[in-house]
Amino acid sequence: MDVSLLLPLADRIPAMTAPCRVHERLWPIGEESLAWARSHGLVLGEADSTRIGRGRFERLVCRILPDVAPARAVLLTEWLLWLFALDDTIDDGPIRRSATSVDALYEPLALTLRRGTARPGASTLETALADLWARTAPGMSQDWRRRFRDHLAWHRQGCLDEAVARRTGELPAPSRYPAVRRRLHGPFLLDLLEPALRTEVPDEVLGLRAWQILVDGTADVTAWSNDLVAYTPDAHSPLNHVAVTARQLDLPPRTAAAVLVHERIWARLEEVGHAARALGPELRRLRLDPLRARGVARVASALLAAPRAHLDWLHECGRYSPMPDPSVPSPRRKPRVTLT
Amino acid sequence: MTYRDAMSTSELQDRKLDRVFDQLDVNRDGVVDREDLAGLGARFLIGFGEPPTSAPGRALLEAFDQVWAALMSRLDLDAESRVTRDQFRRGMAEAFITGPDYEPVLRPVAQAVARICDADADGLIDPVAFRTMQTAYGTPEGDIVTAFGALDADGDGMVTVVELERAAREFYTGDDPAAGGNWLFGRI
Repeated sequence: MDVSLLLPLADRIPAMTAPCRVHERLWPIGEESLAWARSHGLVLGEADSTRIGRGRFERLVCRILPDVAPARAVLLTEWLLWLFALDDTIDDGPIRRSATSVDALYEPLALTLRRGTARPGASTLETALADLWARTAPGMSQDWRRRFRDHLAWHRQGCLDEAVARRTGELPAPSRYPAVRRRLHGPFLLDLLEPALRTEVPDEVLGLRAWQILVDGTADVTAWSNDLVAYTPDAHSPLNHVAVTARQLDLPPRTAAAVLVHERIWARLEEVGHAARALGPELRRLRLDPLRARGVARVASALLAAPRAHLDWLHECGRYSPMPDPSVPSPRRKPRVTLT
Repeated sequence: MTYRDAMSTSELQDRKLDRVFDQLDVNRDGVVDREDLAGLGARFLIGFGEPPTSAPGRALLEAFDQVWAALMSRLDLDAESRVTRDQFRRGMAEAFITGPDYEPVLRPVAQAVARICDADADGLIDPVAFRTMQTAYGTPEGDIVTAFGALDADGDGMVTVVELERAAREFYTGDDPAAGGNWLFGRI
């Protein structure tokens, strides 16, 4: 479906009325991360001829993190490239309906994180992951690393759920859908905001109800927005909010079900807004030291920027639009880009 | 030639600029960079539950960006540079005390801060909003009430937006030891 279905959110939700500030090094950040992806074999050939190459993930990262040192924006962009390369490996390959095969793909990746290095002769996904981890983990505590690995394990489970759903055609009930979809959405990505912002969110903040709504709500809004834009009757993933809603409520997907999903995104954004307003007083009660309080605020601010950043990224990236005619020269990476 | 030789700022002005430097340098490593300013902006916004993608949130962050740009311009540094306390004093003084940048650069910050503190746009900032603002700036708890009293010129229990903006101007540019604006962030 068309991303224009989501654009009214930017008018209707006060928290999304202003476009994000964009990192002034957007261009080199995109170039450097693409070069890394090529060097690891995650992007092959003409970037625009692949779904991953059309992702332009730097445009998402540079909106969420407009103030960080460029190297850290590059690193987060590379993580996104890796995650989407993994997703595409599963979605586009023969293993897409086999939970056993998906699990076999994931097992060496989980081991890579535990070992810290890739095996000799490892796959491109393994070697790329080892490189990312080696540049991300130093400086982060054992607690953070454990949380990250836990969330990677959630994603693994999400991928298994998806493979089973593809094979059996069974979809989760709408009430269970948010939690199932959240696992598939790469929950570890939000953990990566902390090393990107050179901070760690302390346990007492992670346990706050407002914080949990902020994190889960941000994941839900971006995941469901993806669902809305990516939906096709023969979609890569059956774990799609539009598909689930249409099936469960017997609604036409492109009209009534899509409208319902749109309304749910809106409602979830309002919940995130309430959580944001509750967060300030809760943080003051915790009396964090200034350095920690500032780090938490930066992570929260990045989370709150994510829905609008994601909306604008969906509008600009080519991942969810039809593949272009290869005979037409690519407009990609012309030096002049217009940013909002 | 030392910084004091080169600049015509008073000791009072230096103390105020040092307070601003300390607001940014929360890790106390003796230098500040753009991320420190972004961190201050984020803490302010999150204190009020304001997202960076609302109109007031974006206005505040853009105004902060302009402050950093003005400072870097005065110091002839690029945006990713780190700045020592002496450099910070010199750049801020050149931009906002002896230079002409207060009106186009710092006043919009004061206005953006006031807009968020005055959520119902009645022109008044209540003690709760004032405390939230001061907490973001790292003002010691004991100084917040004192600062509120100093800025509440008519003693009606509210600080007006006009009073806040006047105090900001006095704090960043003024040299009058008796000015109430010196108390903007508590005792200097």
